[in-house]
Amino acid sequence: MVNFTIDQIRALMDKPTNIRNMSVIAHVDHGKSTLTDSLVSKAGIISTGKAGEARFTDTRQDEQDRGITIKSTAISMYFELPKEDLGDIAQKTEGSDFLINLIDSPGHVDFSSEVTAALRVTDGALVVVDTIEGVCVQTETVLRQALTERIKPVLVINKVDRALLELQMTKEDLFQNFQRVIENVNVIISTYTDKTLGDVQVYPEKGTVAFGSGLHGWAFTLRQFAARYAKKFGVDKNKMMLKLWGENYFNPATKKWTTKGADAKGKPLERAFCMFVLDPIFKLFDAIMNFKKDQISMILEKLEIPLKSDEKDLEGKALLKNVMKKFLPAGEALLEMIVIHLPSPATAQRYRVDTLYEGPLDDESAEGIRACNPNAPLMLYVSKMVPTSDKGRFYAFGRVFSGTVRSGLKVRIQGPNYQPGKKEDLFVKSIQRTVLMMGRYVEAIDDCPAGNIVGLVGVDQFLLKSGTISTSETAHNLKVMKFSVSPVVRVAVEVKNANDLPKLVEGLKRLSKSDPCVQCFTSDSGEHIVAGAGELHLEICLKDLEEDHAQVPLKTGDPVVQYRETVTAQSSMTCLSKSPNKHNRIFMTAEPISEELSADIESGKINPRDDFKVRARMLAEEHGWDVTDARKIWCFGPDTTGPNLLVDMTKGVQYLNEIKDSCVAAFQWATKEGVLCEEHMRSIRFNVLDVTLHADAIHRGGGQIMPTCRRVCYASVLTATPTLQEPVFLAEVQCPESAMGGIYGVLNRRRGHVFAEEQRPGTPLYSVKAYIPVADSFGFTTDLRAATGGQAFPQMVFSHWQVMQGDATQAGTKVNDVVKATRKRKGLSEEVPALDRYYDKL
Amino acid sequence: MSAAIAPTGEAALVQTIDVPYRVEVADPAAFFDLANVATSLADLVPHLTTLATLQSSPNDGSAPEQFTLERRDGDASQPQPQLRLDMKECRVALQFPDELLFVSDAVVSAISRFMDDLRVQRDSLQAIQFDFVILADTQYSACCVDEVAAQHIAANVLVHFGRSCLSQASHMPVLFAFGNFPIDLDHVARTLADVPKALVIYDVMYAHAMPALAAKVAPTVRFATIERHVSSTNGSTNYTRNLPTKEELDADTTVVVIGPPSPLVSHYSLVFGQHSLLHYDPLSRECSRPRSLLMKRYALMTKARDADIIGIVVGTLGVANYIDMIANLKKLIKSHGKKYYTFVLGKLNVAKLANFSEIDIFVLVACPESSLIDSKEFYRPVVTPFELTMALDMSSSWTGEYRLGFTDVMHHMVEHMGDEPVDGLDQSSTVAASSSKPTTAADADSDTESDADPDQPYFSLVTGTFKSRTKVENNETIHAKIQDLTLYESGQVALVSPAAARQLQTREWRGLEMTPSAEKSLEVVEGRFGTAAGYADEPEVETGKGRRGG
Repeated sequence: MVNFTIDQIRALMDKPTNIRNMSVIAHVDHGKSTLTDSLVSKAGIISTGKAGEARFTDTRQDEQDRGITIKSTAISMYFELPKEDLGDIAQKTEGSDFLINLIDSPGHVDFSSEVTAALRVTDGALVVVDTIEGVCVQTETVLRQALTERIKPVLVINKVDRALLELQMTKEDLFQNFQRVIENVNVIISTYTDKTLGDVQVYPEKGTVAFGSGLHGWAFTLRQFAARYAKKFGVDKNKMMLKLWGENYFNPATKKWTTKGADAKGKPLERAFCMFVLDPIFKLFDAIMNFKKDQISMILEKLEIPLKSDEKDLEGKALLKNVMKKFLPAGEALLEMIVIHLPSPATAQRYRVDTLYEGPLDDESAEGIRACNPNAPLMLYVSKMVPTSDKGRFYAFGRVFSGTVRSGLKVRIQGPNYQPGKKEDLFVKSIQRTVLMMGRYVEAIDDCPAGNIVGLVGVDQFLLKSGTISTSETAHNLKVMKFSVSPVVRVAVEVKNANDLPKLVEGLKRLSKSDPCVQCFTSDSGEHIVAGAGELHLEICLKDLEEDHAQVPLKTGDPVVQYRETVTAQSSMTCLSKSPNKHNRIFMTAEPISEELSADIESGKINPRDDFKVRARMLAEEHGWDVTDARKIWCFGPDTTGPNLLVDMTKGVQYLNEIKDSCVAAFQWATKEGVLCEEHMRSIRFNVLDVTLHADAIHRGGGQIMPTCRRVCYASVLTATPTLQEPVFLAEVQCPESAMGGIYGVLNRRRGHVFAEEQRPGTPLYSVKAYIPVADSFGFTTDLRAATGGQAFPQMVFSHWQVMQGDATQAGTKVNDVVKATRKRKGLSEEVPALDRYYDKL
Repeated sequence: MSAAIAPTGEAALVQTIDVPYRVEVADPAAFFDLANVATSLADLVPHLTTLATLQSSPNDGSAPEQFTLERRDGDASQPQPQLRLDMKECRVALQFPDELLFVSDAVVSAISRFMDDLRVQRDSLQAIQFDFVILADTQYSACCVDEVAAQHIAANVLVHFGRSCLSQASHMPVLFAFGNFPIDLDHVARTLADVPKALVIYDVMYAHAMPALAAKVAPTVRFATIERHVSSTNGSTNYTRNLPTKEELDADTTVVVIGPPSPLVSHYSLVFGQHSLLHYDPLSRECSRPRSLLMKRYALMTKARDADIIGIVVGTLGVANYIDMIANLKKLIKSHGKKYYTFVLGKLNVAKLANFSEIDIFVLVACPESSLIDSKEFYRPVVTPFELTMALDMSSSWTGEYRLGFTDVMHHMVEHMGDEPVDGLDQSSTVAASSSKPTTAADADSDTESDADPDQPYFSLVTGTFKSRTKVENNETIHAKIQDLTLYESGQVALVSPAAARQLQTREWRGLEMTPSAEKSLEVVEGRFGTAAGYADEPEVETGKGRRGG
């Protein structure tokens, strides 16, 4: 039975101090959805018996079938915290009831964009780590993302039951294991931490770490145990918590606390954590799993766990689960941790506003966000679109940061390209309805004040994936989300029946909406391309496209990799191209720019909107550029932001400023469609060395300059040992030692190379990190499973661009083969055009 | 030998407007069947004297060099000279493509001989003096009749030699002499044996050999015959290709195009996009399966959808209905809230179009065979009117059907223009076309946006993002709005065009400073002499060729 009503929730929404917006994040298969179940069951949405198996937040059929989460799912829950716990909450609260808006996110790297979208609308994160597998690559990725969004983490160490049952760890081993996991998490936190956030490392003795088993539905924090023992020992609960962790020992003989691991006679003492916390758990496990009937009833009595008559007949695991759920209910431990340690919107928005808002931090919108003020102008960020039961329509899912959104309110819908004062990407429309997202269901509400997560109806036609909704005319955008994954794997889709084409187009639009990361577009050769973060991501997208969005039979091509065209040397000569009328000449060379600079440009650290003097200083100091050159960067490309630069190195050329626009346009065009195989260029610096122009303006118009500048760009590339850059995945594989050989074999066949290999301390598992070219990664997962008997499961995420060896214009090299294949696929003549097509003799 | 059929890439379909296609012509009279041409010409003469044509009196044409655009303007203002039944001189323009120009001389002497013979036979011709003028270097494409050039020399009739796109001319009586180009019939027949079910479309120069070929191949091979019609009113000839409709053609039929690698091939690869296509080149005796351009054109269509400013490029001044076509395009573009500019540029090239970098896409109004421009090298793509019509109407679906002829496209436009009347179509056909409209509307039922408001953005397939439907005002609208010109203190007149202002904003170079400086005026000095291509005081440009280039 659901133990709350929508009215109760609505009432709570007006108290931002009593709201907790949090997401559950972790590596794949570390038990997020399972753990979420215990909270859902505590809220009475599902029965306690089902918790741990239902995976309530996995709403899609394929999520249930595959056992992985694909889409993030939000659910709002109402809880009451026992009065005695209220005192521990460091931030301001009113009353003892709380609204928790929880978002369960996917753990597979391919769906990282879902995590990003979830993090944006939440203030706290429940980081789940598997006791045995420990901190994995995706744990690090999501944690880093959370910290850059200024999200406060708390930790749950999950699957403790496995450590006990499968690995039969001793108490001390288990403690060591816990400590290692916590240390690892804290290392990541301190690496990426933001000073404004304060110390966000997690400490068991402060109650920010929970231990438990989602599957069995139990979990505990030291706080709970401390509360039990505080009475017994008559010490303060908080002091007790400190004693229960780390180098604290209790000498039962002397009844004294000590920080030494041995007593006066050198006899080893048992750690307090093991003695007071783990001991009862170990005893229970031991008694139940070894069927020591008499002991069981004794312990149960001691722990005050009443069993119903039918439950008494249970045995083994079933009994264990039942008892543990009653002894240490997971829901309570998590709830307590969330409410006490995660920030409320009122607290969080105070420090999040700087990273959220693009505009000046003292305008009315910024003030509204900072104060989480429901009466300020509306500021709402739509982070993703959630499909409705109505085909083709979506709820815009987002967070109200300021003001109140209500049905019928006329709002300004600002797309990602909106700039204040301009009309571009701006729509003024009314909100049709506001709804509360409840996992599989939605509940209509009249309005939604600041600090809450909400679904909007009637906005989806105006926003593709995300955007800002405001009522203030001066409002800037809330910052666009930055995804940790990029869509590097593409496939072409086509309809089996030509008449279905409009449905495919409509389907592509819907697919594009429904996923924060996927890209759908047409290539120049007229193919419909779907681009995703990885093979699994694409597989899911294509399945959705065929079954839900387009609903027509589709044909899918092989996955295709995007390359980047680059150069590896300075142009061997100064290149010259003449305009069609032969009256104008442009002299140019090309040279590579460093990988660090390209990465900085791509990450936006160096961007075209910077002040040119500041940028020049940065280029000179960090990348060794000549300051005068650095000040004369004409533009970035392609798309005016890409990692190629056009640098004016001319001296005293007349009319140069007149042709700049044409040169910039030509440069954008050339860098977008490179000379080798019409892929984007990357990491190339073009130097305009000299320009001769006809004295008469009519003869140096755009028509003469533009084709010329494009040609000379191509000529410069062709003379500068052009090659391709290919995308490379970082793959992390965990497996037992026996499967290592298989991993190496598969990696070798696929041009992968291992750069780190380590054993997880305390476990028989090895973790292998390797780089593998995306082009060779298709089918890697399947191959690896086959080669290791299903024991290894890789996580792959785009890592970097890697220069391919060789000259792309020389036949016989691997890169030349790739160029030819790409040209063929695009319907171009197979040979790279010769230099003389672009280079003119003086 | 059995002809090798190999799929080829782009190379097989490189489209240029003029295809150099050299043949040996030993006997021009026989090659072009000049006797026949002369007879037709003679038959035509009586019509000329009873026909209202644009030509003025023959003595006007004595100095053809002086006929420029002003001359035509003059024509429009002064009343048309009355037709004279006692015609003394008949000027015949002979239009040759570049590759056949070398025979023009021989052709003139041969045809004059034939005319002299005919004059002896026919009394009606006795009084008439025939004057032959050779037209070379056509303004647009060699396949079309260059009426403007013929009018410049005040020709009464035009004879078109060589390859033709068979577009109907708008004003002038025209005769065609395709030429009997050599073809190895046995080889073609062997090639065709591989494709029992075929539709043969041949280029006009091979029309002479087709009856012979038909006898050599299986009866299941159909021929898209070219039919000659002689107009009863003006004696002009025109030809039509008998193409079967989609329904008549079985799905497994192969379309075989016999002809040089010309736009004809790409044309039919689009029109019969659903069928497999075979291209036989009689010159190289090669057979290839060109890749269909359909997908590439589809990509262009999606690009056209995102365009706000459209350039209408006039690529013909001769094909019938081109004025209606342009008028309809303007209406269509305007009704979709986009802006257009019209360009008359002569032959297209990259440099000419790149001068107008503000234009998002160009639409080329030209004969079906020269409309398909491979705009890869162009800064902005060039599409056909049909593609633009498809692109502008969001609900229309790309079914792979493709139209190029003006009449076909205008019928299609009727379906997409709503209430706006379409010029140049008679009423009955308009009704017929609009009656088919409901079916297309029913196709779009999957479109959930029927209830949505008009400024809702659409999903652009080029960028994969939403694009808003911005309305751009056309110049007429802007001019109509400006009732009284705004006067600034300085006395400058401001004409406000928001679109132009926005374009200017994005530019870094905005022209010379317009603010009058406080500096004193300088004395007037003598400037330099000459034309822009080379002033008198400039040193000789080392490449003499470059002077005249561009």
